[in-house]
Amino acid sequence: MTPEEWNEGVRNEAEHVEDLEFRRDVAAHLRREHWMTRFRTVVVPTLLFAAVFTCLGLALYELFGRGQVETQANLSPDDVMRFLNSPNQIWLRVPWGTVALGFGLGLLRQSAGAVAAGGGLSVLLLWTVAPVLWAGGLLGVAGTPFEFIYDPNTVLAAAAWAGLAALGGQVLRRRFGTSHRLSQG
Amino acid sequence: MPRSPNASPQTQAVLQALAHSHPTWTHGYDLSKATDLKSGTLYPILRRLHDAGLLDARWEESPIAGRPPRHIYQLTAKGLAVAREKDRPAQRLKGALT
Repeated sequence: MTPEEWNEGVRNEAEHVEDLEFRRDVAAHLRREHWMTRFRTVVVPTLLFAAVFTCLGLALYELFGRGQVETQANLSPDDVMRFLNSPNQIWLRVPWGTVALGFGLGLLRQSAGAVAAGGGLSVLLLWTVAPVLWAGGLLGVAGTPFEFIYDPNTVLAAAAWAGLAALGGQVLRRRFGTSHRLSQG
Repeated sequence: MPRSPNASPQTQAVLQALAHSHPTWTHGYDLSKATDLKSGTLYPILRRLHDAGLLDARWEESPIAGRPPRHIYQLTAKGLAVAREKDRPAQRLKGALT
């Protein structure tokens, strides 16, 4: 029996009895189940995606971002260290924004596939945009002219389109794909 | 020593209630009343017992028109054996005290 069938059985049981206390208790139980399921299928995977790819984004920045800052802006090592150690509000907005976006998309479709699409969008954003924004933001703090190798707007748009395409594919698959009807008995 | 998954007093209460009504199929509401357990405790236990192969669950069509089918539960042979095994120490203790 699937979790949905279990919950349907519990809901139907409440409809068969006149005991109001039992019915209220069942309603509260089903509400808790609903939120727990949503938490497991939406919140946890989204946070996991975001956390993993935040780490990857940071690792990539360490590999490539530092090099960009040093070579393109002709900064001294001391300046680079000062930039790298300064707090950067743009960078801070990126992971939280993508977590919210992934969560929102997952919540919208309420399915594991949509969570994956939302997570994928988070991945793209964090992976491609974060290092560039971080480098640009750090340099912006000091007012040093800096030419981006990748235009952040183009990368952001590409990531957004990829995320939307994934979401669209998910919607089409659900509409035209094979549906599984719950069996009884 | 690891704790048995069926060792909680609530699970034992459910097992005993199902064993006493065996082989009659039981509704969730009746089990709730027999064990004094709320839905949030009772139904997860039933699911665990079902997943462990100790409980059979099936749909029962309502005799009243317009009412949806409901679940009924019965211990499997394995579940009945576990319930009787769990009941034995209590019976031994009861016998020793009387």
